[in-house]
Amino acid sequence: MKKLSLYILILTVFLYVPTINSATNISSGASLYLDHGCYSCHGYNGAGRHPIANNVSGIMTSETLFITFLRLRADINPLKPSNSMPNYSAAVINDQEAKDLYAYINTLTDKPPQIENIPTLKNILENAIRKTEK
Amino acid sequence: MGTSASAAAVIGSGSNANAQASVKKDTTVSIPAPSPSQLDRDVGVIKPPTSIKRAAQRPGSDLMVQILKDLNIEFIAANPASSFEGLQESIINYGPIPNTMPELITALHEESAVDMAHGYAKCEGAPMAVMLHGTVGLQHASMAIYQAYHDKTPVIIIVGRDDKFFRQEQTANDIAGLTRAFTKWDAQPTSLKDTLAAIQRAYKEAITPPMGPTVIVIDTEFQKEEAGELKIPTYTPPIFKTINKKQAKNIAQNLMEAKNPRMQVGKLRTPEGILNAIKLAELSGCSVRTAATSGSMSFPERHPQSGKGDDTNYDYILGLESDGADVSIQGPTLLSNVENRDLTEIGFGFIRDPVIPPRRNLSGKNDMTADAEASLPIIIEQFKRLQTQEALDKISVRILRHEIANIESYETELKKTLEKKRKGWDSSPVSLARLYSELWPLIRDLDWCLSSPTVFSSRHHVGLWDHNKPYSYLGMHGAGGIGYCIGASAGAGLAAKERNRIVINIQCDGDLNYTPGSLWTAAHHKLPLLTIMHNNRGYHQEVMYLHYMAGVRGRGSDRMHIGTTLREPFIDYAKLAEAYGVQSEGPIENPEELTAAYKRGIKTVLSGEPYLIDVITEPR
Repeated sequence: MKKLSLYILILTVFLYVPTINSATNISSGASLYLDHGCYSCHGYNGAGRHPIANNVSGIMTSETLFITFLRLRADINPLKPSNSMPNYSAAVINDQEAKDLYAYINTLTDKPPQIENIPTLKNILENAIRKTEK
Repeated sequence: MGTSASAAAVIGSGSNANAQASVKKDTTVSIPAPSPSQLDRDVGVIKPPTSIKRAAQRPGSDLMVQILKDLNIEFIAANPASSFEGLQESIINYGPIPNTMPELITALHEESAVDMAHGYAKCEGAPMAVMLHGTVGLQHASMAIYQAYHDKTPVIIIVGRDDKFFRQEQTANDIAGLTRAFTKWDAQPTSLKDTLAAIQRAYKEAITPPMGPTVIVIDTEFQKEEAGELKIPTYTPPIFKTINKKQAKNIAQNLMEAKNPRMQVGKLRTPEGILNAIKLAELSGCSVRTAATSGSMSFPERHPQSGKGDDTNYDYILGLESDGADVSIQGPTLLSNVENRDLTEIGFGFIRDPVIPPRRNLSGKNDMTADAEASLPIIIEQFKRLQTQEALDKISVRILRHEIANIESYETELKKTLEKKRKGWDSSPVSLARLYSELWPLIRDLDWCLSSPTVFSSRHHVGLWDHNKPYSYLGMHGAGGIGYCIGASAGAGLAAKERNRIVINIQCDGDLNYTPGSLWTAAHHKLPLLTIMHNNRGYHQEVMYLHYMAGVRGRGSDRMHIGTTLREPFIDYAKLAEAYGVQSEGPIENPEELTAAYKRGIKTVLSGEPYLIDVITEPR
């Protein structure tokens, strides 16, 4: 019976996630992404200098991990200006908003073509090899 | 009141009125008979005078221009002003008319004039000149002078001084004192003869390490004075401090005997210095670390010996204007100027706090304070004396091994680099990696110069473009002062103009708004300057700083665009360029449109006209 309850709980969580990822929440997450400056390092499409699309950094592994990451960023008073990842306390982005943000970021994907399918990059590589062969 | 009455009212109390009154009173005045020339004129026989008496047959400013010619000063940039009108007239009219040596370059702001000289000098390893007006012009230029000083870049600055006839606010007893803390040398000569000598000295001081801007304050009287038979003083070139023969022999011997020697080349003074660095590298067969992706005047990045080489266990490292583990030859730092000149301690925090050491010669081993470039020929000479056939054979094998290893490493690194550039390839706004990548195949076979600091656009040229010329990349601002980019790029354009070279300026939007007038200078003087906007619509460094600050304080981070972004309205840089006479296009948001735009831009620039492409980009 206990085992069954656990399965039901997992199933509930599983079913709950899509509710979080509803269009409304994603839309709210998109606004938060821009308003709170996520775009400034991670790019408008999650493929910026510090990419976040495709979970390349690992912080998008789970919602809990993501929210923990937001909360645990450095909050000491910096003597030097810093452009590292800011702290986002619950007073600034509450848990629901953080979930919206997480849902939105999960929609970002970066699937660039392979080098051989990008004529410019392919050209650069081939030209360099040609030159060095000389 | 009728016309006559008004005129009478105007002249009523003046001295002319009194004179007329006295004429009327004197009834005994006799009128002389007309002269023969007057009679001739009456009957229409008019002859121009055979000679015009000029203010000065040989004005002092002509001699000043002759000195600039002798010193091979190609350009002098200025925003016009009364305090150097004599000199300006000579620059235009002395010699073949219009004189183009130096060519007068019209700057729309004094800061731009100095920025141009800064960019030019970094390309050529030689100074150009600027003219500034008294106190106000020099103050406008001061930030750019400060940056050139920190960048150890030579600039000849002539400041006009009109102490008697113009606005007293625009003169001073010691005008050069305004910028003394961050110029290398200055003078305010008290005669024309001394002025001529001072211009020569200013040039010598500017090009002698530590190089930097120098100031000559020239009174208007000396510019306009009749020079008569005054001769231009004989110019004697500066003597650069070198290492001595014994030290050179020691270095040569170590390079010869080492199994795996290495050279680390920083920023040399001139292209000639680079040629000598190449010569020594090829003679000794060492591998070379270059600073070519950090700034101008360093070792060619794709020289076969440039790279880590065959073996990274180096047993002898020679630093040339760089910190070598075994020997460092480095010219004097800015600190050598400070004692007598930097009374404000501006920009030199470590002077106030002696705990922080000066940033140089960190190895502390065999440091030699001498000019590396001038020392190179002595080392080369000593090396040649030690050469044996056996050594030559050993060195040629070493060169081959380095070459093979460096090629392999280059290909491996390039593949990794390209893999990174792929990210966000199709994104809109345009990724900065794509902005740089799309440009490279179009310019790699041209003679190009990347004039803009690239730290704000993530330095995507590094690892992708080949930095093989002394001017391939001009490096940073000097002191991080914003507004430098377009002026320095115009200066690089001046250097490029007659040399079949084009200039690429990846221009940050915030920076352009300080001194956009340099766009007009580029159009007016037909400079081959391709400006590509890195338009992220804000001062992005500050956007990031403020977000971090807000995160620390926890009071909301959704308002950090206030005071840091350029929105509502967006600025239309294509229209801005058009207003200044520069062909332009954009804004481009679709990366697929980049290559075609670049091709149009390059075609225009190759025809000798500037071009601007506004690209909406990812922030970084």
